[in-house]
Amino acid sequence: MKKEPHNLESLISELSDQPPMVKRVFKPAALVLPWLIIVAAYLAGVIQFLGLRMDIDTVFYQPLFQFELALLGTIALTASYCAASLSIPDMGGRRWILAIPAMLLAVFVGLMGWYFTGEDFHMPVHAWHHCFSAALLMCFVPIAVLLLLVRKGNTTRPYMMAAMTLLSVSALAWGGMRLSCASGDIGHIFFFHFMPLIILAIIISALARRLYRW
Amino acid sequence: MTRNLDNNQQTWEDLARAAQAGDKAAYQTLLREIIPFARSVLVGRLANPSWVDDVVQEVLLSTHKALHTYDPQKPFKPWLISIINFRRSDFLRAYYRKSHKKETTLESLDAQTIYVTNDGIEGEWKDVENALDDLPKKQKRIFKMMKIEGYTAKEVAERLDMNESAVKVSAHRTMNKLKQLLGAS
Repeated sequence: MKKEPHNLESLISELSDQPPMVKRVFKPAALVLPWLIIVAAYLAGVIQFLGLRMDIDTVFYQPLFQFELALLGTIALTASYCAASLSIPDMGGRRWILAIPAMLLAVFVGLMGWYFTGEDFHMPVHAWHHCFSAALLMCFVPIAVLLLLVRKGNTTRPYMMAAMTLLSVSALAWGGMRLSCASGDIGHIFFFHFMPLIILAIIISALARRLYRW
Repeated sequence: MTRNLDNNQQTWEDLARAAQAGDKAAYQTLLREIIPFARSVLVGRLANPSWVDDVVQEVLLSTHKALHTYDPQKPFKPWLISIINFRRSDFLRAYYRKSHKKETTLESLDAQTIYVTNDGIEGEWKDVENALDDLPKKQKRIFKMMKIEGYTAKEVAERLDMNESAVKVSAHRTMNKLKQLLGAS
């Protein structure tokens, strides 16, 4: 839409000549649902391709492991819903929902702290490990699809939107890595599971304004 | 067209709903009614009044682009205010990004015209100028250099060949005198 400086009356005429026909009002849930279906199918495919961890039969029935997976799933779900809600300029008056993934993340960080308390940090002996690319692979499609979907809306908080997108995708990738990698070494987890997510976070944060420009 | 605030909100929701259904007249009315509201929100939040209509223009375009995200079951005003604040931040970010690239010396600083003078406070600024005119020339010079142009006491002392503490005392006395003249408590 071409605009002329300060000629508001002609701008109004120009805009009202073509009122935006809205067949269906933008609903965050309607956006999250297709994303979840795509992502669930994609992650199942990636985990199938990478292979499940060797001790999956044992760990999968441990309550703590189940709790961790459930927590990650809830973080992914709530954060993606928040990202979709952020596509509405005022979030539909429900800004408080941002607190939900934030609180769940705090619980997750606490859980990780408890996991690794007393464990020694070992620097990985290899500079590269397939887990690094696996973590990126798990993020790639979910983040691309979510970025495309939330662009259907119009956010007024691009950085919060980027944070929620990343949180959602990172939770899924972390869960995927827990299902495919049996390593419990902090050094390995930090460098090959967590570092790809940090790199992704830096890139997305730097591009947030451009990605969500409208 | 003037309406009271409560009616306004109800009307805007109806207008937005009609606009979403493709009603050109309702959409035109909505956009027209947004203008004074957006201006009233922006005028106190932008240092230069000539920027207001630039941002209002962006707000209208953004309303057009984002109307599909408005849920007619919810109040229209918070939705609109989010857009106004977002476009205001965008405008200021772009403005200051450009202005940081321009070199400005302290002597050519146009802070008075850009940041201080504003239609709403022009009268007050004139009162300050008049009060300053009543002061001795040197005292006025010191005050202007320190409090308006942004020089430090040391720089003023060097320029006017004075003692630094004498400069500070003079500026302090001038401030008290102005408060007295302008009736500040």
